[in-house]
Amino acid sequence: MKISRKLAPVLVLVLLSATACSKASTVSSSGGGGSSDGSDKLAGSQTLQGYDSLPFKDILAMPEGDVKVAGKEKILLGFSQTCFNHPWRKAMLESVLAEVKRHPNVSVVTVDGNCDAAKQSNDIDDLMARGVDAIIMSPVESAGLAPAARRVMAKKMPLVLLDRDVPAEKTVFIGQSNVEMAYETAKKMIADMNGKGNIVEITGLSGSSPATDRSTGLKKALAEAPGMKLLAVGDGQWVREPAVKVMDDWLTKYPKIDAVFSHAEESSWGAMQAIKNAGRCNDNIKEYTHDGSAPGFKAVKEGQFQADGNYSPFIGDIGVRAALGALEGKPIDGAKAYSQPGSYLQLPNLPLVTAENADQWVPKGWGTFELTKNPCK
Amino acid sequence: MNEPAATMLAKPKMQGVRERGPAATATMRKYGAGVALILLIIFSSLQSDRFLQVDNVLNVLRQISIVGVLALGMTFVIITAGIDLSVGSMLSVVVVYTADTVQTRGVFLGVIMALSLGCLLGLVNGLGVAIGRIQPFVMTLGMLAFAKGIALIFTEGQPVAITNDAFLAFGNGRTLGIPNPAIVFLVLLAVCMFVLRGTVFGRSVYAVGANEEAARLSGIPVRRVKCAVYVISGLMVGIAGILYASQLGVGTPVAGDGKELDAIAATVVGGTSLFGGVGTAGGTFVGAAILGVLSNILNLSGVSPYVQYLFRGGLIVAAVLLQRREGRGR
Amino acid sequence: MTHVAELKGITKNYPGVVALRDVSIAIRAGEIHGLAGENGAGKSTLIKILGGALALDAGEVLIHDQPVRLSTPHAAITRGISVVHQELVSAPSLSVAENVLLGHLSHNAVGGVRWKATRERARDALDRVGLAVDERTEMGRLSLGQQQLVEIARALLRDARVLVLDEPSAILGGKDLDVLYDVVRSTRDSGVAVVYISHRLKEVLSLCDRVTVLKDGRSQGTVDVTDLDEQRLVTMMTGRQLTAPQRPVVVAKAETLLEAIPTERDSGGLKVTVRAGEIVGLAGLVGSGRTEVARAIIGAEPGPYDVTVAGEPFRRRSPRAARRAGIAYLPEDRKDQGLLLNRSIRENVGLASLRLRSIAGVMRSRRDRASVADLAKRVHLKAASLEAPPSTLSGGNQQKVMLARWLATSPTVLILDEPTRGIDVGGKSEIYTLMRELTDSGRGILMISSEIEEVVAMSDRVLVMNQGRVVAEYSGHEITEDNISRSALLSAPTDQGHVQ
Repeated sequence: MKISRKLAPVLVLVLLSATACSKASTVSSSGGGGSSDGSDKLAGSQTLQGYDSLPFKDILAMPEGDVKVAGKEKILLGFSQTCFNHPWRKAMLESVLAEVKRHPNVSVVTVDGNCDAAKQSNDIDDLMARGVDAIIMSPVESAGLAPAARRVMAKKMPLVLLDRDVPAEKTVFIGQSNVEMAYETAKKMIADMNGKGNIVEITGLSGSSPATDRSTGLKKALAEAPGMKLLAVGDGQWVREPAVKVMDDWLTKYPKIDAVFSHAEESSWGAMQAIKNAGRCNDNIKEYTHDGSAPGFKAVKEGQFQADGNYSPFIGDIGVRAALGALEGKPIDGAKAYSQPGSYLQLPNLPLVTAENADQWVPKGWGTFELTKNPCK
Repeated sequence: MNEPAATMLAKPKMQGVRERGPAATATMRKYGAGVALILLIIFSSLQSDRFLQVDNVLNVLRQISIVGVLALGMTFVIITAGIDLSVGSMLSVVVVYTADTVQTRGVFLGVIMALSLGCLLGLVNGLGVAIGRIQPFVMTLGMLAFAKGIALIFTEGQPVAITNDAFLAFGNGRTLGIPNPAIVFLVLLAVCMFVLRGTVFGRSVYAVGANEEAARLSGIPVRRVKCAVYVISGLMVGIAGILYASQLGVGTPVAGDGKELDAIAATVVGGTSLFGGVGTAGGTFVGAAILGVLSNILNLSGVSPYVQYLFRGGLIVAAVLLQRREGRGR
Repeated sequence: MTHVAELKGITKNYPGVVALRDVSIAIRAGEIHGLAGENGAGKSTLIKILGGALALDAGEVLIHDQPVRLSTPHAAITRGISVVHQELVSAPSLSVAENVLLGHLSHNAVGGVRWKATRERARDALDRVGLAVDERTEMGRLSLGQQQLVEIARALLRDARVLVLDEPSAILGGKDLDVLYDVVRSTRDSGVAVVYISHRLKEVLSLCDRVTVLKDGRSQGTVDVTDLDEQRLVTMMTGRQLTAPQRPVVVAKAETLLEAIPTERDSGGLKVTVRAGEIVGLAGLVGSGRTEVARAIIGAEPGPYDVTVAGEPFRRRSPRAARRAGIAYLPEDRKDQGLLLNRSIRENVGLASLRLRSIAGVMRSRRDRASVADLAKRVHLKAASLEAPPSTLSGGNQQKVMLARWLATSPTVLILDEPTRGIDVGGKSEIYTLMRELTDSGRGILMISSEIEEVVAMSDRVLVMNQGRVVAEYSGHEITEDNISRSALLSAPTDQGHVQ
């Protein structure tokens, strides 16, 4: 292995160019230009089948065309996303862009918080410095972004929070309830099993708020069904590999498992893999899961999942409409005061996706990735 | 007249603690991890009657195979007193590129992609450390971030599903009743044991870690050895990537998150000294097995995932305490 | 008569070894008490017990006739016993003042350092040892001799009543030594007891008032130096007589094995040559550039020399290339640059000749073991097991490990940097014999040494370095301590200690 000094930079270059040539460029911002150039950047991924497939398009509905705000010809919105490490987060951006596209004089700047509260806080300052008219944010973390939220409100700028709340003043917080979604899924599971059976729970990353909420929803439903037995709880960390390991061990320990209640589709796939490894495909262990991706809905349709909790990322469009409405000075219909400062627009629960309604939901799910093969087939 | 004072001052208890002979130290270093593993296995078999079932043992072997393979590569690096923090991120890169290549170009090219990509990333680390003289911690920390970026950009955060049956069959199949990933791990273990113990290169790795200047003055090609250990670590990442993709049927850009710490933990628990010059591949196997058995028995005993972290942390420290007094005499 | 410190009937066991057996030693205020003995005689163990670093198995320690328990080094320090260890323990990146006051910085109510007071106290302490460096200098910039003085200053500042110096002269040369002796004497004159450990017989005889000799863990008694001479001291220490092997007559026109000629831009120095069958001594003060010459020859660092090996120019120099060219280099610092302390003796010996013990990169373990055992026998290595780490060996045997490592490469020229540093009298004789055997078999040796006696006794030719250049060459009857010292010191800077 003779490696000369000269080779080193060349190799780094090769690596860099390999990276640059990969599938598509990164989603970071659509400059201050026309509204369409944001969506062009997403040409590679067309999760969203069109504006009409947005599940919440009727909430705060708004006609197409220029938005008239006194003293402003063009409107620039700022969208601060948690990070883009997951397709769910990208799908949310798509719904933001879908709404923006309908209003020719509106454009949006997107910033990526890298899953880092400090970075996102700085991003908010950058957006304000850039002169945006309103800010839409999906916070990395509740408490950590409260000061940033206060800085926005101090500038009398509309601040719309999506998915996760912040304990500070805001124009409106728009979110779905993880607790209720998981409760619905669990109720379906209990009904399928006639109120009797042994189940295991694979959680999302221990300590993250959606994982905590989804566990709460399950516990609420189990409290109402004394015939159900929760055998064990394991940390699936939202992904596949840890789920395989815990499920491996549970299959060794428990001769009879009737259902797996998982917080995420990926972990459900992991559990199925473990069932296959253990040669227990014929046990007919049922899978109840959450995420609401298009491939997930397909899996429901094919009978691999019994139900998929429908936690939609397509809420960005409501955020845009709320921000534009606030700029126009319109009230936000349905927003109510709640325990935190500001108002809360609670979204109606989307129906749990089961074999009955899977067909109609497949086109409305997020994610373009391919459906995982059923390991048992 | 000295006698009474002499007896008074003689404190047999103290001497044992303060000065243990080098022989005892060496023995503990060599077998401490093994003793810990045996204790853990005895405890586990008392705790759960399912623990020693063949299927469960094979499960544990399969479960530790990915981290175990990474830890074997890590062992080479740590013996040279280096560290490779980038194995987790590199694993993510390898997994997503491999998944994509298997899908679009077939299994053969997918495997080639995994191995060469692993080596290439490892080579960048190696060149940075050996020729750029960047501290391993810093160089591989940089690679950690860089590789993570590559994985995310390539996939745009979307998982890449693998539908190639032959490829999936490998990761989930068995040969002679033993899961294939476990076989790969055990074969690599044997190769690494041989390379470290029985080759000129292995002896050079120990020499560089034990005393770099002495090795250099004795004509050991220190820079080449240092570069090579990172390439080996990268190669192991490539192999682990194949195991991951074919076992789980998916390439996600978060596949390797945190795996570097698991690999370092297995290596250190297995008796490899972070100060360099000391460690064996067999020890690393024992280290990986200790961590794997622990998580297995905790799951079998139905311990909550929150509490499992406490056990894991406690065990890492306890296992290293058993092999005390490392880095003495340097 | 009261003694400032007394050790009575000390016994200390290590597993399988008795390190000290019933050793008693009484130290008086205002004396320089020498502690002599070969390596492994138990000097270090005794010092560790006195300094609180080691628990004793039997016996007692008395301070002013009161039995005390010194369970930690700190306990010893508070009782007025300060040990200056052989391996200096200073913090090289801190200032001299901070090093002197390490752990005792002057501070104000909130813990802030009062720098002025700190510096003044440090200055006082430095003046006591006559060290004229700025107290703000970084410790690491000081010469070894100066660092040693700082250590002594620190000990004195703690009001030491017993100052223990563990082989202080082992790392010093020339003027540094004289300064050290002055400081030791003035410390004694101020009423402090100095325990002085040394290998250097002449030093013990000229500096100490009384000497306690240890041999194999037993005391051979305490003697006034006035009753001693060199021969008697050696006999007490070893039961043998010190002899250097007879110098053979060198064939004048033997083949030149190694030549290092200063390049043009560095002209003015003499060239370094080594011929077959001769030992060339390379003398000079510490810091005069002797090690640098050696490292330049083997390519461990760049240096202004053109090197030829057996008449062939040796251009692309590196330690690896030097090994191939038949040059062996044994560094002066065995622990830091020579030995793999946590690997076995076998691996240490085999380090430079792995290729010879392997086929296609695979070690032949049986041949490896056999050949290492052979080499160990050739250098008369005394080791319980070749699988034990070299830290279990005495200094002399560690050096033999280094020699064995290089003999395995069949070198034509050996560069030995301070080959007998830290090695006891018996070990020295064995190393000298081995060196002679090597030259008798046609090899050449370049021996770097700070001990003038050794240079005179062993060398067929002597090169003297001064300020980075070889300034003089002596052979035959010109080889005298006078000549060498003069060349080494002449036109050297006169401010004390500044030899670098």
